[in-house]
Amino acid sequence: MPPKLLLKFHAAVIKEIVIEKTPVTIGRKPDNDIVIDNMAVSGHHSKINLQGSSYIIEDLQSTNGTFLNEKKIINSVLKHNDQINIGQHSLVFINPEAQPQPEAPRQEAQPIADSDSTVVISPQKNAESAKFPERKEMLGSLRVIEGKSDQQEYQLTSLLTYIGKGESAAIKIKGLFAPDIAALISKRPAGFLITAVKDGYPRLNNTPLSGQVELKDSDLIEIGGMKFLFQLKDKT
Amino acid sequence: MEIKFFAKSDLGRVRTNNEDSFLAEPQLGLFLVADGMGGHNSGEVASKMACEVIAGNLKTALERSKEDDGTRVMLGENNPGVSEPANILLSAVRLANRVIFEASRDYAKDHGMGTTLVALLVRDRSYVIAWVGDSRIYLVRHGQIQQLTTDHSLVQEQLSKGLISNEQAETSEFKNVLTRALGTAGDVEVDIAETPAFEDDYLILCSDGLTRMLPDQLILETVKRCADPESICVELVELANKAGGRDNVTALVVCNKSENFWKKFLRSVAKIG
Repeated sequence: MPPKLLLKFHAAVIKEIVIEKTPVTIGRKPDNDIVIDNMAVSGHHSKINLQGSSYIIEDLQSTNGTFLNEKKIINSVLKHNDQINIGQHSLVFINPEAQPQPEAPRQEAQPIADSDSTVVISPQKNAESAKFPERKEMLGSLRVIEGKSDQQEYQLTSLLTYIGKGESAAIKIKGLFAPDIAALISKRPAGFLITAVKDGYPRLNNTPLSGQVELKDSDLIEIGGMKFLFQLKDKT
Repeated sequence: MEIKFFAKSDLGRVRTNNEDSFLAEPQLGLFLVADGMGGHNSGEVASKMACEVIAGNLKTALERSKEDDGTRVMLGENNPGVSEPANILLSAVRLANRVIFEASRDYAKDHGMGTTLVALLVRDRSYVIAWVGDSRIYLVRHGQIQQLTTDHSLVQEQLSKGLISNEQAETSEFKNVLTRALGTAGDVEVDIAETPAFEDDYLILCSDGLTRMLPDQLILETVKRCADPESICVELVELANKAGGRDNVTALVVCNKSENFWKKFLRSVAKIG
């Protein structure tokens, strides 16, 4: 098994890099094998070479230096579990061939019978839900089919879209008795919901709307003298 | 506009340990609530870690972004649909995930630990919200309550896909099963959204210990009745405990009010008192 490097930022492992060929160059510029985009890292900071059967870390005259197990080095042999520090990042050199590795204990989240404790399942384990297609982002829009408005069609891209006479309304309606906010359309991952802010004032498919309801493709919304057609499309 | 806030976290009536954490950094406009899980007190470790890592990373990154050199370290992909501060928050939440995940592997007692997270970043004219798990952020505006987040839970997935009805969701025995959390995997998909801010907005960040005990309408009534964040928090926690307090309950209330409102409010309260 070839050796590998674990790229870490403080305690967090960001990437696992298998050393398939040498030399391995490390630095901020994109022409390096390992690019670390951080101000403490020089354009070409260091390099890992293979000499015989040993891996050597070499500093390429970097501004801040290359450190091996916290000691500043120019050139040094790498041993299993050695830590190379470059700025705030570190690279842990893993070479299992050189030393037998005890198997790290692997723990999978087991659903516990006790219904009070929280468990997390991964999407793969959730077989039942996986039978159904992954929820795609849906695009919603309101097309004006009756009444005067400054736009023919409104794309519902915001989290919350207000319909009314007032300032906070993205979709304006007119009328002496029109409320500042008549309705609210909220965008959710699964679809769009319409809420009657002024109960009974908006009409959905000719019925006065109360509370919150999920919008379906081709629903007809009537508010103040305006009629809108709700359209739902796949993002593709 | 001025932000007033208050937070309260309570053990509840059943649990022996409070694994919820919260954080408020008004200078940054950052508010967080996290509900931890794991054996022994690992849940507490995870939720606290999430709050500290996110706040620390966000603070540094926002300070850096004011400098001219233009480089920004981003963990994971940039989301072009949201602003730069939103992407900074996104990166911070992903970093917290990695840190908790690594810590859970380093210490045997913390194996499998994780946490939910809800984050609110209040900017001049908008709110950025980010979330993982089933803790929630509600917006109270125009006399209405709106859940801004969508639970990352099995029950919510089933509901969204039309597999179960609302009634079945209410009584489901799988209400505690999450589909996403911080710390349980190397990578996590963080949901993020931005929305314009208005005066008189109330934002409520809370753990499911609150929302499992109280219906949304009751939360709305409490906000309307109590008006100031501290009273709202105290009342919400008390109502949750009265309803059974089956889990740790945390509520963080942020209110966006104009200076004038508070002066008028305090004057009117003084008259009554």
